[in-house]
Order: sequence, then structure tokens, then C-alpha cells
Amino acid sequence: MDRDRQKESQLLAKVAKKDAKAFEALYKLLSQSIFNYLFRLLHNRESAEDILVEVFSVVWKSAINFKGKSRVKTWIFGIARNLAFNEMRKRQPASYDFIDNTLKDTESNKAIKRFENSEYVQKALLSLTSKHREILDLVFFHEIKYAQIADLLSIPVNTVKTRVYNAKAALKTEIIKMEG
Amino acid sequence: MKDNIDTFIEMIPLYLNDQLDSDQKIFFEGRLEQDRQLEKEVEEYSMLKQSYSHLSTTLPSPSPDVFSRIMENIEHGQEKRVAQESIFNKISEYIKNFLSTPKLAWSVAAVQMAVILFFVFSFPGEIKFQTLSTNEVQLKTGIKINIVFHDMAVEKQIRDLLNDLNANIISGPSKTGLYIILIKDTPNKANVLNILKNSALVKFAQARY
Repeated sequence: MDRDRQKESQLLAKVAKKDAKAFEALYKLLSQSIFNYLFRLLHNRESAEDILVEVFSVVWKSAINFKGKSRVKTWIFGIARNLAFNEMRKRQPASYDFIDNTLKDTESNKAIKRFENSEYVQKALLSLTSKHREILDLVFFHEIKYAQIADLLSIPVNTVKTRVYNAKAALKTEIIKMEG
Repeated sequence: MKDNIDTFIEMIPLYLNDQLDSDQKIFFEGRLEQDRQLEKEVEEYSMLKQSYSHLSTTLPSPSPDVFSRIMENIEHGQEKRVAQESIFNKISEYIKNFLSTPKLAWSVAAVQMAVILFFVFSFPGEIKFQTLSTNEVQLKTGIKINIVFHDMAVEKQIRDLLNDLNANIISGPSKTGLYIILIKDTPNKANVLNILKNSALVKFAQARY
């Protein structure tokens, strides 16, 4: 984990000096993770790719401003989060719900059926609020530490802990509802 | 370290993600061996984490062209910035050149000349005066008379008298109540002065030289 962190920092330092090769390497290292995060937030591949383009354009432009206070990956997640939330705000609530429901009925269902143990969990995750889903994604999918999540979401670490606990409780309620 | 159940529940995600240091891990596992509730919670969190490990294989990857789109976006941004910088550079270069050549000095001299010429040629042919009682009285040939009206004289009566004589106030009143009036094209100066002196409204009237 620390090696990844070090590698990210080294690459970003080179990106700050406009090293295109380092930029490509950084993209290869983090793009899938950032894309997954965006896809889970936006539920739309095209939008996630558009935002990914913007995210890495910002990284290229702003690498020189990175102060090293957080992990590079967390910093890029923060950029992705801001851009994704701007995009979500622009969307009509109706169309957002439509995309959400479409995902439940198609892509996710197909994927979930392949995994017996995960079926209820993933279905239930889609029923959670975006706030709860996001925190569980960050902790269990992206495996980001509490302190970094707190930094990313601009909330105290204790709120991160509480939010994880509440999200998991909400998930359990959804699973019970589905089983019943 | 606190040893209530909430503290341990908060630690579960960190334990599953292998983010606890060795002391914390020993402390956590010690509790886990003897706490059934904590064990149940760990199981649930563990299933949740497991579902995420499957999820990573089901999510799509970004299209291969995304990176080239990023590079295009960056190059486009750089071109735009270069174009903006180029316009700025051209303007600053022009200003710099303009300030360092005799053009500026000649331009300033030309503007000064234009201002001087404007004042020389636009001077009015006739002198105009502004008074308290009349506007734009033109100084022409005629008789000018110093005059003081009685305190009891009302304005309307004074106006009537001046109108009868075709006279205009061109200055006054001074602190002592003195006005200067102008009577245009009068044939008989003495007669006009007599009329004024005999008027009940006039306290003093005398030709101005």
C-alpha cells in the first residue's frame, strides 16, 4: 500500500513538471479506480468517462498545486467527486431516477446473479441513499482509510465512522426487506 | 484504548482492510474471540466486503480512447492559453513600442495643438454676462446707467418701468443695492435719465461712464 502511495507521489511530481510519460503511467495506475467510483456515483458509463476526461485534465493542469497533505489518490478522488456532484446537480431529478432504475433492472442484476452470496448485498446497496452507498464504496471497494475519507468528504473522522455504521445498518434493513 | 463494543465495531472495516497496526490487531482479535456480538458484526461486514470484491470484476473499464481524449483536451487547453498569451503579448509589445518611439511625443503635441486651436477659434464674438436678474444679456452699444431702487419698490413695478424704457439689468444688485442697467438704441439719454429720476420707484439714477 505504501509502495503504491510512493509511486503515485513520484508520478505526480513528474506530472507537475509536464512529463507526459509519467502522466500516462499515473492514468494507468488510477484510472480504473477513479472510473469505478464515478460509475457507481453516476450510474452511466458515458458520463463517467466524460468526467474521467475532465478529472485527468485537471490533474495535468493542477499537479503543480498539489501540496502533499493527502494521498495523491485521495486528492484525485476529491477532484472526481466535485466534478461528479456538479454533473449530478445539473441533471434533472427525473432522469437521474430513471438511470438509477435502469441500472437496477439491467446491468447490476446480470452481474449480481453470477455471485450467489453477493446478490442480496449488491441489490440492497442500490436501494441505499447515494451518501450511504458512497461511504461503503470508499471503505470496502476502494479501501480508503477513514482519515483520507474524512479529508475527501470534508467531514470529521468520527462522522465517517458513524456514517459507515449507519450505512451498514441501512443495508441490513434493505436485505431483510428483500428477504421478507 | 477504549474497550466498549462501539469502538470494536468501528474497527471492523479497518480490520477487514488490514489497516490496523499490529497492536490494534491483537487487541481487536482478543475481543473477537470472546464476543459473540462482535463476531456476528464481523461476519456481516465480511459478506459486504466480499460482495465488493466480486463487484470489481463486473464493473466496466473506461474506453481505450479516454486517454487520447484527455490528451486532446489538454492540448486544446494549451492552444487556447497560447493564443490568449499571444494576443496579450502582441498588445503589450505594441504598447511598449508605442511608448518608446517618437510617435507618442508627436501625438501628445498634436493633441495639445488641437486644444489650443479649439480655444482660439471658438472664442465668442460677443461678451456675455450672467446676472442675478437677467440671463445672457448681450453687451451692445447703448446707455449704461447706475441705478438704486427704493426699498418699497416691488419687482413687478421695476420690471414694468424697465420694459417701458427697453432697458435690461446687466449687473447687480451690489451690497448697497446698486444695479447697472443697459438701454439699447435710445435717441435721448437725458430724457431717459429724467424719466428714471422722476420715477417714484427710483432712489438714485446716474449715467455710467
